[in-house]
Amino acid sequence: MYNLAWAVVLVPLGACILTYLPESPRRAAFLPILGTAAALVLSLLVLAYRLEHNSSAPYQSVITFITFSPNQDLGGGVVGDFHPQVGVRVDGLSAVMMPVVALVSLLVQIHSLGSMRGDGGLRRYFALLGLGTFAMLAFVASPNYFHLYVMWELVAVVSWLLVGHWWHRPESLRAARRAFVISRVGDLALLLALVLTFVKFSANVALLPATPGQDVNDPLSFTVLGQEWHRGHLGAVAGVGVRTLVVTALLLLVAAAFRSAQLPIQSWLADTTEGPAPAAALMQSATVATMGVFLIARSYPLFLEVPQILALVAVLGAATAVAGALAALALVDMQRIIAYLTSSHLGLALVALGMGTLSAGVFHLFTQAWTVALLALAAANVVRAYGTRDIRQLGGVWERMPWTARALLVGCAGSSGVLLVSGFWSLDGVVAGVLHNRLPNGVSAPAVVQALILIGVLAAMGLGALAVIRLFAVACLGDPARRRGFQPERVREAGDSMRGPLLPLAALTVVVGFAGILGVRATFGNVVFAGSTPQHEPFSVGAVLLTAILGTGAAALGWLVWVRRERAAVDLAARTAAATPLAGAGALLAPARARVASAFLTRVAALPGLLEAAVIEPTTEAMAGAVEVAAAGPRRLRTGRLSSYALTAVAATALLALGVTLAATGHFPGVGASR
Amino acid sequence: MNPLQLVLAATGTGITGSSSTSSSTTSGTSGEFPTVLLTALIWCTAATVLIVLALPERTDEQRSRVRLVALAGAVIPLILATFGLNYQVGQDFIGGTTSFEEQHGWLTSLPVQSSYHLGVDGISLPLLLLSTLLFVIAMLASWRVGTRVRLYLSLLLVMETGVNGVLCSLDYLLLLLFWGMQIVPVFLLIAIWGGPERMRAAWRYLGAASVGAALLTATALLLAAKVNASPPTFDFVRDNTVTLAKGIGGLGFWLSFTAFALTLPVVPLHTWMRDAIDEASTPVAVLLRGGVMTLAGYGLMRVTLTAFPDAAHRYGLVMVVLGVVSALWGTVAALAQDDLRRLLVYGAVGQMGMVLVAIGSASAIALNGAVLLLVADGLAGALLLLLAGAVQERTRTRSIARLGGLAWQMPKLAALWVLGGLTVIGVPFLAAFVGELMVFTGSYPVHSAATVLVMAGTIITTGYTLWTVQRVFFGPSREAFARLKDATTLELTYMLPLAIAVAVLGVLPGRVLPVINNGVQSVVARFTGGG
Repeated sequence: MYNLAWAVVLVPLGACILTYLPESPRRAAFLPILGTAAALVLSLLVLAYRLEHNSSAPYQSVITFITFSPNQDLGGGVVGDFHPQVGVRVDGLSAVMMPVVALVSLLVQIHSLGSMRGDGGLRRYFALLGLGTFAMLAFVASPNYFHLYVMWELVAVVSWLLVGHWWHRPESLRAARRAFVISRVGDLALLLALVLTFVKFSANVALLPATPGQDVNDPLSFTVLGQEWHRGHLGAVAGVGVRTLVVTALLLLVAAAFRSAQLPIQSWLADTTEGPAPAAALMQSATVATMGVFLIARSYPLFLEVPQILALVAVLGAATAVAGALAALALVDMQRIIAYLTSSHLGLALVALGMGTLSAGVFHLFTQAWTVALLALAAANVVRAYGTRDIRQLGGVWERMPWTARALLVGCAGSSGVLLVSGFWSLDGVVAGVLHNRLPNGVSAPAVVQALILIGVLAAMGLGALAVIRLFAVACLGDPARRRGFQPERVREAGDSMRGPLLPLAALTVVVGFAGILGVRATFGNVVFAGSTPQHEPFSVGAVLLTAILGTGAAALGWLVWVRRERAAVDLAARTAAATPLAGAGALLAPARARVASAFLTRVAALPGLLEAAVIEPTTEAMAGAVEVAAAGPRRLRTGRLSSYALTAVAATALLALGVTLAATGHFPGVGASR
Repeated sequence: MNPLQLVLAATGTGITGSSSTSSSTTSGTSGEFPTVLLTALIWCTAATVLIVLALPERTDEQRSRVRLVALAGAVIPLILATFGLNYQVGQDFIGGTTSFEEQHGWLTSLPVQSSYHLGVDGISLPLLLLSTLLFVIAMLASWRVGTRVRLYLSLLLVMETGVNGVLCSLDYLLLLLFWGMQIVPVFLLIAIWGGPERMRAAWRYLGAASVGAALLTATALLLAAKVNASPPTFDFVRDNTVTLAKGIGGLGFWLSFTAFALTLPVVPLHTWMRDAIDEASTPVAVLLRGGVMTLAGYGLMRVTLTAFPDAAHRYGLVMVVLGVVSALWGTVAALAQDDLRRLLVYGAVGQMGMVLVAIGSASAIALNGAVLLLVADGLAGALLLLLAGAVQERTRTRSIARLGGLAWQMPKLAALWVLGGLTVIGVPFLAAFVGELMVFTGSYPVHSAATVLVMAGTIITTGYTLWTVQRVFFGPSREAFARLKDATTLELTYMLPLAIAVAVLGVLPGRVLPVINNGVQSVVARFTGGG
């Protein structure tokens, strides 16, 4: 049954390759859709099976990608084998995430059928969506760091190509390039972590008895490393100390922060909206942006050994959450607002991870996947219909596009944590984690840190709720601004394929949170956990109350400010808004920062040329001059006579060959072969 | 075993949980049967020269006949090299062995003995396949050369004999002869068919290459004089297995290292190679990039590391530092280039810096990675140079600032460029990824800071590669280029094989790695005192 996981991963890849067969691009688009649908069904089967056999060890099936015996001393001992492997791993975490990726991708592809209709590169676009789905599914199901890194990188390439889909638009190109180069920095941190882990652990792992079902122990396998990290922490692995673990964890954190748009590199995620909107929705909700959080969840056994880094994760997450929410409150670009909200919510998921509640963090990732996808797709419909992304110029969506507007409202509720909608339940888990403040192994973060994080989380939740209500109220209610060439009466509801995907997403956004209520959330905690025993998060009345008050309260306040326009509330909002330029500055400064960076790069890049002209060229010139003199009269060599020179050279070579042959056979005077 | 595993087993990827490695019982051919594979491979092209020179070239028909003959002469070595590598892939071997070995008495009455000794191992075989493939591609890319066709093709063929000969020689005198054999043809190819500054570039090439050859000669003579064999010999097998005195080893190391560093090229000795590739016609640039530069990497492993292991160990840090300098210098300089060809050359300098870091750290994993990288970068670099040539031929400019939006007219060329660029960046499932990963993994334990610096350099590589493709191919359509055409069938004929090779090597590096490792082990054994 678990073997189906192979099919889950490979079917979208096959569909993606087949995309280039059908004659019409529109028909070709159905192949990746079918492939993803098949992957979704299969992944649900795998999930169902896994839920039944929850207590058994993770299933793993691997293929050796390359293998040879270097017999190299890496410091900790001689490594007899280098055998990176690829494969699938089914445990709670991957079984839960695979259907999420497949479903969001499927809905995004269906949406693209409508929103990308008539696009010149439709076939390429759908092939890339299929490839990205494959890479993300394989990433989620990865059994070791090698495979994880390969897929990590592949997703980055696919998102570069997707953001740059409209390759004739300079803004798309700039955004795509920025996203790829920035993500490359994170990639290298991950690669370095991989190299470091291999170097430090492989010699020791080779000595271990082989795990059942495998010939060899892979030093990069999550299963093996889960034990090795602990033993390394205890000092039982030669050459590995706490320092190694701290450095590895820091590198992974850097990789995760770059990929999940955490501070201080948040803006690239918002730039991805320069590409096709459905692709941006996919990247924000289920693929690129979630990878960082997933990476930390996957490496959780390591982070549990180094609680100080885990606290850093939480602090970073809280800071990003606040910054993202503030930026969302300050911006006017609809799609960018959603991107910053995504980054803020990913920060909150990191907070939960950092406070030791793995399942709450993954649960937040899980609920927000639907919400973000819903918001981004609904926003895409609105932007498409109105032809602008500036929320101040939108308005009246509620009457003109009833489906989309209601979906947008559900998404806003899910994002802000309004009572009983999914975001509420997962945010409650995050707050409970902060209040509880205890890692599974009993360590707690210092009270100061805990207090700071709590303030950050609450602020982020409140501000985030305000931001979504502002987004909804300003965009959907009231009347559209008058613009030249824009006729509000011609705005129509989006077509079926663009409206359809909103329905399941909205339903999930409302319903999926109930997997997290008391008793049932224990199931989520039972499925997705670190280590060998499930964690049951303590239920915290305080957390529920705080979340309820904050989410619902902030939403109500936002309602008063932007919908009812109560004077007192508007005044309060104005005062808050006075603080937002400061915070939004980060987002607004991004272009200036890019300019400074490019000016700096230009200077540095000119250096080698200058050095060559000033030092190397004159030196070599002098040497070349000497050779020229020695060669006596190169000036005689003119183009007309070159062929005779060439003939001379060929003849000389031939003569030399002849002489050598004669010598070899003993016929050359004075030199003879002995035979 | 599920179907997928079966498929992968059929393609030779090892599978955990089942014993899938097909153990071939065939033993080596050397011994029972005098193999002439390598002799045929090397001299086939030289023999073709004789035919080519005898053919007339007055009419178009005659010229295309000359081209066909030359192409046939270049295809035969490719077939032989493919056969050789394929044969090795099927073998199960333990320990470093040379295969297809040929040895005949030769200059036996000289004071220093030399024999006609050929042989290949895991290091040279993949490089041999690369060079023979690139020569075929260069022949096809030269199809439109109309002036002095006979001479042009003869020079290419002679050059091929030299390059392949270097890769197969197991005797220092033989190696020197072959090394010298490729210098003059390259000089003439640049001087006659090159760009506007060709004479200067050609003379610089000749000068620097002669210096390199002289240094190599000195290395060979030093080995012959100082190895206590009786009678003294130029043979690899004897010269490369003795331990030299400290001073002699150091001298030999510096002689050979400088010779190869000139050609690799290593900063600050790189300007002449830069100018040569800059001014050469596209096919010759491809051969310099993929053939001659690769020879230097091969020489560093085969001569510098193997003959002078103690000194190489002592001065490993020097090599690594130079490698880091080259890697960063090349990539940073590429960022500033406006000339498309020159940008690729600087990129090549950067990639060779990475190879030098691997060679300097001289660990098994890194050296395996270095061989893979040499092949991968040779393929990708060749592809990009060919594409740059195609762009230049159409737009009549190499200045990136004046290009833009070419993907409107040439989507195929743009797609190929994206593929080549992604390979250079080191994207998984494309050729260079596994090589880079292994270079990093292998050098990190030895020189961690240098490894991190080189890794940081790949970020810049990513930057300039993406920036270039976006400036040249993407963006709004330009009026001036509106009438340009996409790739011709001929161009696709020689570019697609490279693209396919890049993808295949990226997906199935596991096929050749055991072979490469077999060769690398004999080099590494010198360090650990085994061989």
